[in-house]
Amino acid sequence: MALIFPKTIDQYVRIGGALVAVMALGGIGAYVYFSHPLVADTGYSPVQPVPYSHKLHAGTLGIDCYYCHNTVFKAAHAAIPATETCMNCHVRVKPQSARLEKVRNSYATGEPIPWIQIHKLPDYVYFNHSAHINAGVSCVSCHGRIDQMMEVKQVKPLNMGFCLDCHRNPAPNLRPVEFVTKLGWQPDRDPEEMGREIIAAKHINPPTNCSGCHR
Amino acid sequence: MIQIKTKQTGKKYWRSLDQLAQTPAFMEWLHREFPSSAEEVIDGASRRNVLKLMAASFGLAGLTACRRPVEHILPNVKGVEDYIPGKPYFYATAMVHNGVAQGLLAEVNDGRPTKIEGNPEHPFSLGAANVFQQAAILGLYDPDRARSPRQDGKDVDWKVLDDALKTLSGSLGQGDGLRFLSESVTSPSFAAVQAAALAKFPKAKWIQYDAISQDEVRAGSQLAFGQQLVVRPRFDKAKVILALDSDFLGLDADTVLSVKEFSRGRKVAAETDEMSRLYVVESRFSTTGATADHRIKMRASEIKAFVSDLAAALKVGGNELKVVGQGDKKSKWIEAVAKDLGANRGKGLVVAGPRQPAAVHAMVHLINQALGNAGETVTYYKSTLEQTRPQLEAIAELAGELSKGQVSTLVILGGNPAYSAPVDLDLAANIKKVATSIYVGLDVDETAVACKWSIAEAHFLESWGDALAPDGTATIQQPMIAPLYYGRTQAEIVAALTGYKDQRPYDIVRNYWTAKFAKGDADKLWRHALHDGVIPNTTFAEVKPVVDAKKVNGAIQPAAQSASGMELVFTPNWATWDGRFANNGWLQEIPEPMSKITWDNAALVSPATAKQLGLSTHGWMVKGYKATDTEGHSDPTQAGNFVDMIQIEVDGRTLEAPVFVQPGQADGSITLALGYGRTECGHVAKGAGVNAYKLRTSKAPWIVADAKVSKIAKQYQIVQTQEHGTMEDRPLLRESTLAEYRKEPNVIKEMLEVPELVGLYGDWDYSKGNQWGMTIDLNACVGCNACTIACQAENNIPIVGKDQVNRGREMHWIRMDRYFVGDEEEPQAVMSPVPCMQCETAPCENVCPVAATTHSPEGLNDMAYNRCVGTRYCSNNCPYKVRRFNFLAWNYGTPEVEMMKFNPDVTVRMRGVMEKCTYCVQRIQETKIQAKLEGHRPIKDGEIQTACQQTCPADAIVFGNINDPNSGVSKLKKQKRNYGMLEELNTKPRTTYLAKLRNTNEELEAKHG
Amino acid sequence: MADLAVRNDPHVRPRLVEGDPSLHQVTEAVSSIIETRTPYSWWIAIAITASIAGVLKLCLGWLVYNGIGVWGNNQPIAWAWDITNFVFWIGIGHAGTLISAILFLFRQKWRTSINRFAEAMTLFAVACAGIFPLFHTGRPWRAYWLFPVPNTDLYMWPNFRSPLVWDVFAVSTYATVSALFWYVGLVPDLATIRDRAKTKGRKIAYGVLSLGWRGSARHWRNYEMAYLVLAGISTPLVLSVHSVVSFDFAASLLPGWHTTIFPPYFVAGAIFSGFAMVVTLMVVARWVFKVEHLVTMKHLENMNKIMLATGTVVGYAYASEFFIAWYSGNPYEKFTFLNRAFGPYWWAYTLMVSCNVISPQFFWFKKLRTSIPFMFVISLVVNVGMWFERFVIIGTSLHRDFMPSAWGYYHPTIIDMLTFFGTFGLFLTLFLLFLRFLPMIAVSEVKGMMATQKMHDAHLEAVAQAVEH
Repeated sequence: MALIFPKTIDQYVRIGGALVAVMALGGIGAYVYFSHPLVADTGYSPVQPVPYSHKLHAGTLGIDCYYCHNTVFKAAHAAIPATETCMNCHVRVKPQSARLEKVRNSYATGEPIPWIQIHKLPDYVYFNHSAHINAGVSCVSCHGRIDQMMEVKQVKPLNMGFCLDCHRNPAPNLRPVEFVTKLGWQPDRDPEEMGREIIAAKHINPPTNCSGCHR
Repeated sequence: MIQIKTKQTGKKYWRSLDQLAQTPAFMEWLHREFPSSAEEVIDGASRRNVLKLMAASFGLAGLTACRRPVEHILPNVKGVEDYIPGKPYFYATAMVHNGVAQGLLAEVNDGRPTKIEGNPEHPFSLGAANVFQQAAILGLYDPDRARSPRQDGKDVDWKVLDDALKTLSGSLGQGDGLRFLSESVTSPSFAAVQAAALAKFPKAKWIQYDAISQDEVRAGSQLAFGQQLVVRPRFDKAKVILALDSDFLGLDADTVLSVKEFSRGRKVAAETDEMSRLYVVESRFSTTGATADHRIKMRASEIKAFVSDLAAALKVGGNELKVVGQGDKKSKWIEAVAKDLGANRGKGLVVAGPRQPAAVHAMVHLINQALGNAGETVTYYKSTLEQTRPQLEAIAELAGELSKGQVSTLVILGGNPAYSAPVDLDLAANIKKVATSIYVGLDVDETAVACKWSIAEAHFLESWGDALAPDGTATIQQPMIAPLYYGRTQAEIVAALTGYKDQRPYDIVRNYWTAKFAKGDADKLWRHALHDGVIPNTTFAEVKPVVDAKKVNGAIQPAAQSASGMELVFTPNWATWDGRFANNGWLQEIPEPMSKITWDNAALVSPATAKQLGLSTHGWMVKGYKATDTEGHSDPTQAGNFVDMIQIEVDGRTLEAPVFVQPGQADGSITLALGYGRTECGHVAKGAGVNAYKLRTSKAPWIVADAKVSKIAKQYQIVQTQEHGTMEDRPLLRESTLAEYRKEPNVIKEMLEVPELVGLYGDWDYSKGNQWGMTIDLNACVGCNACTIACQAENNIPIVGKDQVNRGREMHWIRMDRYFVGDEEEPQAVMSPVPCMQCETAPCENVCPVAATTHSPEGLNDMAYNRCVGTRYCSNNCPYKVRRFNFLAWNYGTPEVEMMKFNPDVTVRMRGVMEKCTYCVQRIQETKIQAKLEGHRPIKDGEIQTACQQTCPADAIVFGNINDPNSGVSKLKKQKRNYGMLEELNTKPRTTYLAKLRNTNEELEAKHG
Repeated sequence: MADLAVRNDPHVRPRLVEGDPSLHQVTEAVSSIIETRTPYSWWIAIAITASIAGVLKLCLGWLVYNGIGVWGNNQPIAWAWDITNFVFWIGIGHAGTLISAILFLFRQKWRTSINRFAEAMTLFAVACAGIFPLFHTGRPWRAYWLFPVPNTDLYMWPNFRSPLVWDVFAVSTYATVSALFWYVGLVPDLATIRDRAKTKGRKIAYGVLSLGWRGSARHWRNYEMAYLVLAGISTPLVLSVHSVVSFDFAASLLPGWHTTIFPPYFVAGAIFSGFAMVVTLMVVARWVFKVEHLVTMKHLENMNKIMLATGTVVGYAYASEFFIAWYSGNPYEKFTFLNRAFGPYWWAYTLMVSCNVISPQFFWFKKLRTSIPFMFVISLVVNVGMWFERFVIIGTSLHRDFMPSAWGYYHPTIIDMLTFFGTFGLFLTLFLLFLRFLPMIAVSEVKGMMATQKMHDAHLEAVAQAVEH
């Protein structure tokens, strides 16, 4: 009785098996890659209710981050400015601009502007801006060159690995406090070395245990 | 203000953990699934059809892949002056409890009060708070609160009410047939409104009635001094204290100060230190009795005879020793106590409980005077808000008028009298006879239903007010949040009715006080008052009264003892007080300190009485609360705690109640707690306990001399958080006597010899930086549960409901352990909070497969909820069993308003993860960051307080840096009393205990071998 | 007639195959089972077992949706039926590997008729066991964190100090190796079925499964080698798996768990329960499929002997535990064991001892040892007893440990019970499928064994002749 599978089929079986194995590995690799925050979360750039340009305000006009986000040095939250803050200038500057419609309405009606949150950590993570800013970690370390962004976009993964990298070796991300909001600032010497000096001066030892961030 | 919407609700946590339950549909579904964490969680779910469930449960995997949802940030429109989003603020306020004010601080997070603390500036709080105050937050956000005015049971608009009030106030004329019924007025500004009202309506009457009234105390003072005086015992100054049916460390404490002062007298640092001695005579085994150095159980009705015997023994008052108790244990006791009191003239103190008749209080005053204690350990004040009329008499008269239809308008201000008034007055029915009846109350309760009008009252955290501390210190009550349901204050309503000069609560309070201040700096003084919470120099005038010995001796002639009948004693209770907190889940789930019963009240009887009544007493209790394991069924852990029920009959009225056999209860005396069995109430209170008010007549409001009791063929399920009463001779909570400790200070350590201990893994170096540790002083702890609730509020700990407690799934991070010790006739008890010990070599850590619980460099046993997969191995391996597992989704479907209670600094845990005490790590981190911002300064000792430590009225809990030899905790750990629980397991607990010492009287030693 | 005399001679071993079937007859006997038209009885049987397995699926869905609370687990009894069932099933799995590997290495010929069967049972038992470690976690969708998955996202690895992680490795290895072992053994028989196949479908199916086996000498050589190697690999597993499982308990500090005797004690118990299960199933199967001449009384008797031995070992373990509890002078340890025997769970303990220690003792008597109905009953009793052993160890140690204030009691819920019940559905369903589609007896091995038996007979003949003259 003739065999259905002649001997010659073996090689095809071997090749097939090899292919399957390769595809399986490829699949796993793809999953790991696409599920990684670096790919999954960065680049998030929703359309804000008001077309506010950081590039213009922080970049071109050179308004300090601290002018609007005025609680970063004192509090955990970096406060989103009140409509009032916008109006401080815009009562005079472009008071009629159509693009400021929503802002004026909000100011008149008292209805807050529903800004869309971009940089967001899970609720079980307790990040404190003041602790980092005062230690000399610049805004740019986590938010990138906001001052060059028309529309703000998440550029860092902000996952636990990202945090730990810096918590284990903070030196590269430290600078004198006066420069933390100067996003483009570059030290005139070896940043590592300067970082180490700051660490020594401020006794900086970032927590790497769970309760440092999870409570 | 900035509010990241979901942050407050804690909902985002689910999503960020598992992207679970993102869709509104799913959310809404869950809401229906789990209507309230207090209800039986499964129950709702079991109605679901299986297929849908399959789809959902296996659909979870799909959900996890969702792209993250859009989150909005809503900033302020106008900036708020010196307000920083996300930073908590503390404001002084006050809560009135048991007729007096206690100052509090409320923590406000982004506009919502989330936590109550005691006000350190307040003389009667000194930073501490009790369970009721701690639980007030949940009361504020109770979704079942009255949300609007109601006319004939239908919600109406506030506008309608205002019009109605206007027309009504116009039609009242001289105030004929106008009656006000309120609880004791404790607020000066309100008293002013009251006075104005009575001035405007001269024919009107104002009745004050408290369910837990101080009538007898006032009468006693009237009898002894011929005038009404506020009695202020000074437990810290007394060396020898005798408490006669007085639970002054527990339910009879008006403020936490009595515990605070008492514990001061009990602190023992060195072996040579002095320590006060406490004798307790009582019918119910109270926490005071458990704390006592010597206690005898005695029927409440025999106390009268006892005190007169004592007086005789002390040669005070002219009575001969009564036959009662002569030559037996009691008289031996009396002699010893009398001797002790006599030897400590001016340093002794006798107190009696509010349940005791006037004569007893009077005799107590006499004894204190005769022993020269008056003015020393007890002082007297003349109150500015005294009530000349006995409340019972007043309300009885009102009831009469009501039934005769002599009342046309009845304004009831809080207190829910339809539920709590003496049953023979039948108030609920009589109220219905009134043409216009108005009720102002927090809930839609029995009284609200009985009245034509019911008005949603503003919670004390929502409204302006003031009240007096026991010594008259004026205390301002600030609102922390605008009334959630536009509720009104009582003063506001009365003001509206009488057209008082000030109409807004703020004006009523502010103008009252600023009028008293010196013109110029009134504003400044007012702002100070708000900041401190108290108004300086407002205490009552102290008086030095003289007791009319003759009158007192005349009054004390004890009535014939009705030794035959079964005695029934009513008490307030730890969960609902007089019933007002019945809908507060935190309080309902807190175990009663001595019986450990939750979600119910029960008729407490002694083992002997139970036998006599033929009740199936749990074997373990009859045999001196020892587990008789071999007869399995007799162990309540298997009986599912089904207990017998009895029928109690008083004056033809009957009540069926479950029986609980309580060691230490006086034979022939039944204790039944008031405040349960509510009918018109929120969903939490539904079905909790039996209503003792049904037996409470105006004739015998506290002690019923002979109640008829019979067993009935019914069983009832009682649920406890601790079922096993004995320590099985294990040195867990250690105690000794002061004398022994002085003789051999090492007696505590020697209770256990520990062999040389070697760890499997190398020891970590904890010699650097902050190393957190804690001590718990068993000598100070009175087992009041305040720490447990404070912890619950601080750490977003859910409640689970009666059924789940029965399954052994309660979530309290601090378990209050209560063990009976000593002989079975006169048992003693030792109590202690048991939080996570933060073991340096924690057994839970190395068994966790995913490293969700690990050790921090500062010696904390961290728990990363978001890493936990819930194998529960850690809990198995925890010798202290202090880990709590989210068996079900306790927090799903928390009503929106209730979510405002959540502490934003602590993760809300989802089901399936383990949780436990973290030494309030969120507070530690905040302070550390603060210290960093202030130039990397070291953290001061006592700067970080754990929630339990901060609220502890006895200062039994001390937390701090054990690396700093000068910190409070390090000093305590150096004491000879210090020991680690189960240290023989080499767990190296960071939380250690200071053993309990009883300052026994050697003459009575024999009894307590 | 002479050899008859010899045959009845008690000093001569009974034969492993009775009635001298020809090789072809053996093939027929086994293959025909899966070649005949599917009997209705089979459909009915699988309908029942499959629906029971469905109950399991529902219970697990219910569990995942609501949380562990649908079970009776509580504080302090955080592990209850879940882990009990896990250990129970893993234990049952042991007989398979023991028979296939160890007996193979010891050249125990009698294993050949039952090893296939036992190995299948092993696999299915392990499958059932595997359910519980996964679903007893509070968040099963996160259970993959127990595996050392490299993750650049969290920078987190499992905690390799935790016995649960050891478990993950031990059990998964065990499952893989047993599966391989079983399959390799199947290949020649699958080829036989393929060659006998009539329909195209069967030809293809078995063709694929038999991996192009052509029975060439080279194939046989590789086969024998592979089989030997796998036997070598799985031998230590028999001991390691349940030892590691026992570490879950031994590595903790709980009185009643923290015991050095656990590894051997658990392994013995596992083999004990495993053989009990084999007997239960085999007694039924050989009768239903008329293969009594291949699976003879000799096989059953041997297995009963092993049960007697391991049962006694287990009994010894119980005793020594008690002795040590007293001897150690550790009050907690002492209390725990007294509490086991006389505490609220006295009934479970009594049940355990009488089922596991007393009942196998009957096998001392050849009459009982060789009585089909009796051994069937005993095997069931032993399985019950072994389940209770695990429950007693887990439940009674947890419910009263160090802190009397935290003592509790465990009440199973209906979901607990249905889940456990459902695992039997899964187990039996898989088994029915096996019986229907794969040769339940290792035909090739039996044949190999018969060859030697033939020579043996020839020798006996010669002896007989000599005696006559």
